[in-house]
Amino acid sequence: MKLSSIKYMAVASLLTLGMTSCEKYLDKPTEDNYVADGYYKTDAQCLAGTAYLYNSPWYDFQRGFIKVGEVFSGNYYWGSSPYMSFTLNGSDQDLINMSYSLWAVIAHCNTVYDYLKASSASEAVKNQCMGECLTWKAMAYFFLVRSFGDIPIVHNTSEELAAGTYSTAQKVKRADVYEYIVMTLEEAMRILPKTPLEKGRIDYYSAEGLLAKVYLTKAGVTGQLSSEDLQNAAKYAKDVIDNSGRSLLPNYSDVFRLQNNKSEESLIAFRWSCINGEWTAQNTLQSDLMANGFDEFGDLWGGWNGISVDLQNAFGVDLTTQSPDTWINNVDTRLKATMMLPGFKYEYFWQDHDMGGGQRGFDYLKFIFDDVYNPSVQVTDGQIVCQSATGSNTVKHLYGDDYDHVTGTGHNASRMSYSLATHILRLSDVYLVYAEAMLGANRATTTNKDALDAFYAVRHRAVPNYEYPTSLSWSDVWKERRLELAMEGDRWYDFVRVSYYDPDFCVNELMNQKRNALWNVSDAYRTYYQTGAWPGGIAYDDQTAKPTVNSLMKTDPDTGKKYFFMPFPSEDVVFNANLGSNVDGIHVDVRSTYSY
Amino acid sequence: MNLNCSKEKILAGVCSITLLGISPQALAGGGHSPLPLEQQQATKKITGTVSDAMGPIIGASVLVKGTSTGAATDFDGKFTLNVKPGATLVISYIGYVTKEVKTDARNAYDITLEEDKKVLDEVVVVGYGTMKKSDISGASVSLGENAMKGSIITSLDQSLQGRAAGVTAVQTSGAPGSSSSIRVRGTATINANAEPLYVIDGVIVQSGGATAYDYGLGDALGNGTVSTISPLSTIDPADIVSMEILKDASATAIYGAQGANGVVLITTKHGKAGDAKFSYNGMVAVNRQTKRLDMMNLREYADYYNGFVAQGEVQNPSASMSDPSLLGKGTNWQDAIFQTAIQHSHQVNVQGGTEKVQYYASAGYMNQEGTIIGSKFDRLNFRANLDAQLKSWLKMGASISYSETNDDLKLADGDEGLIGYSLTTTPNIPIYDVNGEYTSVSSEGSTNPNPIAMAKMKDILLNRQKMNGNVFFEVTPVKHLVWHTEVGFDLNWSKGDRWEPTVNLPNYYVQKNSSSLQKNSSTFLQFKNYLTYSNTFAEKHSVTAMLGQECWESKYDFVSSANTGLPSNDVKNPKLGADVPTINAGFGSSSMASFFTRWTYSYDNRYNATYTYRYDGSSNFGPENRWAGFHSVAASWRFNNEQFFKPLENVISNGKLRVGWGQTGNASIGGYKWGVSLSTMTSDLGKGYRPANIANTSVQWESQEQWNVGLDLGFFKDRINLVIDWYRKESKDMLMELKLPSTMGTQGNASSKLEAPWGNYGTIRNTGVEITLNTHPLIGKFEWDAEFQISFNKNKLVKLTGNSASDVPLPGYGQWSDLVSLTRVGESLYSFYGYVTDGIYQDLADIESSPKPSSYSSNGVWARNSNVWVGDIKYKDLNGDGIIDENDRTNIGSPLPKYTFGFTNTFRYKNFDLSIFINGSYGNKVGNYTKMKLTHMNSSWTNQLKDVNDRALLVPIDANKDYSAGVDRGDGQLIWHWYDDITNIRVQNAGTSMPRLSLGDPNDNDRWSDRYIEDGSYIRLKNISLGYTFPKKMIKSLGLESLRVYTNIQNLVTITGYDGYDPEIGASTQSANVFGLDNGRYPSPTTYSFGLNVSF
Repeated sequence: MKLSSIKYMAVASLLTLGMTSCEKYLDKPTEDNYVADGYYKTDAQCLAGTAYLYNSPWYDFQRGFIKVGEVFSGNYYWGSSPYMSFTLNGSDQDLINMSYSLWAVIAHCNTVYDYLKASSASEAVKNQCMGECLTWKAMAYFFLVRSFGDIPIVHNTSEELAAGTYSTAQKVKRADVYEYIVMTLEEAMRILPKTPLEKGRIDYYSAEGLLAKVYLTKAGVTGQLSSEDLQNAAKYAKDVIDNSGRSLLPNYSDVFRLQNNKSEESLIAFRWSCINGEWTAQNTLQSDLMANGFDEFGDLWGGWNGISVDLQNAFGVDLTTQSPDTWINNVDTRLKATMMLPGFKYEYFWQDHDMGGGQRGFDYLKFIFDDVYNPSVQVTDGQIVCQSATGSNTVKHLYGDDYDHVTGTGHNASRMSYSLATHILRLSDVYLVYAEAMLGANRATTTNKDALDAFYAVRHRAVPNYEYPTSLSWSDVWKERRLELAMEGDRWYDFVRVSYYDPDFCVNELMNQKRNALWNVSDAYRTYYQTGAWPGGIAYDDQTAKPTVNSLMKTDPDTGKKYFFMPFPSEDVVFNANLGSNVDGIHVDVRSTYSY
Repeated sequence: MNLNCSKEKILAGVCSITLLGISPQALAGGGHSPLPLEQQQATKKITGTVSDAMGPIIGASVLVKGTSTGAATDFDGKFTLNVKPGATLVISYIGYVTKEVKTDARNAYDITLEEDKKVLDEVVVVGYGTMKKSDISGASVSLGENAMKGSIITSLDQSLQGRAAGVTAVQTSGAPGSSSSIRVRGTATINANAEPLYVIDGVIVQSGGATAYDYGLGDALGNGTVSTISPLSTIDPADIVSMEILKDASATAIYGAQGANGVVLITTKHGKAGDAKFSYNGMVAVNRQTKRLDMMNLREYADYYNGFVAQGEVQNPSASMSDPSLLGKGTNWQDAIFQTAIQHSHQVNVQGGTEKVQYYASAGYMNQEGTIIGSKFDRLNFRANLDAQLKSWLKMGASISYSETNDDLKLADGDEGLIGYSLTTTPNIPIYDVNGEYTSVSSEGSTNPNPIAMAKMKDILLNRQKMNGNVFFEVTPVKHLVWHTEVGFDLNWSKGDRWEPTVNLPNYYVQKNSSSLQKNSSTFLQFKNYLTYSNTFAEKHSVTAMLGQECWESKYDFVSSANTGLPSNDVKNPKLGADVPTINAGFGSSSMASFFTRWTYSYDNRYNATYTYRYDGSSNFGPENRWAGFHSVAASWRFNNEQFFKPLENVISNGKLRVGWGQTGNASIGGYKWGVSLSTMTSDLGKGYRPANIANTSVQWESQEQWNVGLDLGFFKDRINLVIDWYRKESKDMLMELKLPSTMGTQGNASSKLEAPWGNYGTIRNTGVEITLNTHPLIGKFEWDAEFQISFNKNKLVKLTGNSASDVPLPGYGQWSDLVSLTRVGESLYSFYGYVTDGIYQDLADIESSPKPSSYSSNGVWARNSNVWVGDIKYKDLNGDGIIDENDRTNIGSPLPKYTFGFTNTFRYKNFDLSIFINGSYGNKVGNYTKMKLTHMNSSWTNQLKDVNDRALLVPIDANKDYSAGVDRGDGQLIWHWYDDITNIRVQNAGTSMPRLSLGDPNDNDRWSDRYIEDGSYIRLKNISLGYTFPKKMIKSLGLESLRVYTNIQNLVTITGYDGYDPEIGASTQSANVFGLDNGRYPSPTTYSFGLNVSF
């Protein structure tokens, strides 16, 4: 080998070595998706960038939404759930998921808000989208403060991350959190358009309606109802009622149908979609709430639970003493739209099924007992039985079967995945907020026409023969809210806000609820199904001891009053000792500490 | 043929591969083409016999040195050749030391070959080259063919268990072909991949994905970051000749950024010169689950159910269960879910070649049923390896392998796994109804589908194909210098298939079937060049210098489609679905570029020193942090070669002291963590995009430093060998996801939360000692080899940064978000974290005088289903504040063993060989998560362990108290039974530690506590095998050259205090950062096998 060969070899090697030193070879950002750098520039990008705030971060909240809102409050029976017996502890799965979800909403809203701030899109679109971020953030805080009491405020996620203060952040007193929510909604209203840029999106009146409800809730947080807060609640609610241009749908049950996902009555809603099959984009409540066989996907396990006897009674239904004629002829159209009872038929479910007599639709009794109509009937000890321990299943949050889904939305549902919107703030809620706020701090009976109008609008839609009232009491509104908003995840929070100033009333009402199951439901239903004659014989289970709510009450160190709270997820205390159940919130002057 | 010309051409070809464009002329050296001499001289005929200790060798190659003349021995080991006087014969045979015999006046030669036991001992594979074992200063361990031969393994990683000091291998599952968690010298990182780097013949093995999500199977196998799918199960262990496990940093540093978790170098079989030699290896095995958990039978279950009725927990008695004495044993779901499973495997290979060209080719097939019904694994594989000495200065090698595997997977563990369902489904439900159809019964609070129906009807299928291999050239342009250039590739294709049929069972009623299919493909290409210079100066100074470059690029893509509503269950193709199909697709790539060098110097076989350096750039990091360098140095002293050691020569035959220090890194966190990528999320407002994570632009390499001190000692001519290593390795800037309280929005469903930033947040230190003692107590006619190895490792999280509070720990969750373990600063990883129990509340006075749990009544009114109650578990108030709350949790045990060991004894007498392999683990705790579900007593429709018969039995203090008119409990509400009156209840069996039954469980008796922590230490007769090798004389008439039959029993006996199926648990397939948590892990079976090795 000659020297020249070695030389060339060396050159060759060096060249080879040099070949790969190329930086470009190592530059590999995500290739099959957009990256945040360079996104949020155009109007379309901004709108697509906030669309998911209406569903995905809220996904894990769904079960807690029902369990807290409806099971706690005595509207819904759920077997041996701790929400039935007020035995919630900080490691409860649904509680943890609910909390994860609400904090995720806040983190997403903060993050997207920051991106939008730097966006070069049009002012109108930026305002729409930033307003959405703020309203959803306020919504999440509103659920959090009512659920857990004192909680930390994460005003700016990235700043808090950079500062590293997240593991020492302090809880903030409820009153200050409410002030922060008000402040956030005020900013949202400042920038949101009066009519949304796209149907179904949040607008000025969505935020204002929410603000009214926040004021009504906040009003009692000091232990006494605040007239000023109530006046604010009334003022904002009235503006929505008078100026939003929105009105109630004529037919109550229409509100909850797929076709009306974006109806004008819906001010704020979770806008689920199962179109692309992305997990967390979809509604899964039917799976938790309905019995197997109702849809095609084998994804239903909620049939054993059902509408509580107490809610049945609130609607005037008593299965232990009445016969079907009584409830079939119940004047309140909300009854059938809220709960299934023997004899009820639904033309909007199972539109592809023959329920007899050439009619298409869903017949609850037939569903339970006819194994041709529903091959998935429940057989126990050789007999077909009704799964629901209270003899009734919910109607709200159900979409029906796949045919109904396609009819309503144009696309298929799939396993644990459907596109039915979940309404969080409806116009009728704002009407009732207004009526209640108008009763004032002493909760006196009123004859104020505006208050009566609002109340009448809500009740008259549901009960066509309801006559214009001469006066309105606090308990009228209290009862009406339960009927109007039953199963909509709201009732427990009514108890929470009243517990701020009148805990004894709340404890008393909860202790006197009929939260247990019914006996002999299956036998009575079966005979009725087979013979058409109602045999009676259903009895309320008065043997199961009443639960106590005393372990879910906390004393406010400032007022000395007890109020309802839920334990903060105990997992979190390992990251931040200040989140422990034994730590109370501190006072923060939110207006001077935070700004938008 | 013109030699010069060919040299040019070939070199030009090699160079063109490297795109150098070098001028061929430049390399044209002088040379003369010699005439074949043998034709010019007279020859004579000679004969000979080639044999070994056991008899003649058939097919040995006998070559005349320097010529192409040669012959192969016949059935009697005889050969005949014409040779010129004075020629040298080269006799070679696979597995034997090649011998040279100079011919002389004789015409007949008796040649005896010696088995080549030393080949592997002497030269070992190190990264980018080989080294004499005696020169190595680092810590590495070899696993030869024999070690693997002893056990029945379907996946390579399984063979590492108990065989190599410093390597902890825990099988993740007992499913066929499933993976193992391999930790080399303890776990050195969190979240970033902690498995070692596998390199087959120089090519980095691509896994194709770690979880079912990667293959498009979604959550079908759980939500963890590990799964039971083994990337190594695609490789046939029968093709492997040896594995080198590089442990300390001086050995692994040459792999730089990829070496932090250790490196496993796998060498496949290569041919040896000689006549073609065929072999067949076959095995048939039977796998069984021998253990059953002690569940209640129907009679006991009925008793238990009636207990709920008696305490008012369940209002209506069950007619069928009111008189347990009339009942039989009911369904044993455990017996139903487990099957006796058959496994068989076959491999044929052929190898041989000439002095210049050698080949090895093999084909294998394996089929294994799992012990859970419906689970299956099979593999078909081919391999061809070729080595050719093209020119005196040019060597070429090529290898290619292809394999196809099919997994029939089942979800065994987790809340919705078959194991869990088979345990909790009650014995009053039959498997089949009177018509022979599956039954499926649902009851309030229990919606278990029939697990047998589920196992048999749902499909989770994974088909994988893998092709990998390499082509290399070694050019020796001048003496002492070798240029190695190599292209390696690893191509993977997979098809993941999920199928859910229509099911027409009550409670398990699915009217729409669904089918989904995902196809993945990935391409890994690796190109490397390195120059090695080795020379010895003045006979004492031996130097090797290596300088090299490597780069690789990996690309992946996938497409999937899914649909529902197929008209029938016959053909499973999403295309047939009636509904709107969903499609998904993705692609991406990553790359790495590296430069490296290694310098070794050895003086007089006494002093050795090695220095390595590697400079790596990875696409996983942002532009400012892309590159990092890693150094290592090591030195060793062979003191037995010193003059002053001569007198001890007969006692100490080998003595080497090794000291090493080095750096390695870790980059495996996935791409683009330095930026924010958007993922799609559709809402009713249209297609949307969501930020998936919080960025950390400064994320960079995890680096690791390791010290190693080792001592190799051989006594009495290596009859006793002892290797002791001490190490300390510290991973700094550990790559992990920042741990944040949920208030930052970084927890929950992966597609709804905001993923916390990845960064360099922690420091972990592993310190340990490894001892291997290798002895040959008996030699001669009756041989006994004994090898014992034991590994001690201490693991500590030294610090975490990135948080203002310095001790924010790392959580590990059971199912979903149930906190079960916590890694805290100053403690070892993954310690279980929970409450400490303190007996059972005996009566109201006991409750009132004890620290108060959260369900304590705040107003003196007590309810059985809302408040803490008599018979509930009392927990310790560890912080002494009088309240039992989440602040009273503590470290309740570590799942990491204090030491693991393996002990192999091999006995040989005449043609018999017997091998007994025992392994074990000491000091590790197991979290029995399954037991939590099987003793919770909060549902009347869930079967439980017999242990619940010892539950706290409540009885009235005053049985005569009258409740017929109702008794005010304190808030105006009336109670009607003694069991609702807390003032009138006591525990009958005062000594019990099992709580009362309670549907609501207000005291949360099944919270994670020391109740479920068990000692997971075990000692296991892992393997016992007995073989017989037939004498050659006997099989000669059959035309066979060798024949060995053996029988083998694996996992025959396990001695452990653990209550569950199997104490060997490993990493959780359900969530990250959890180790040793038994959530229904697929237990490892006992395997009885019979095998046959034959060659001809």
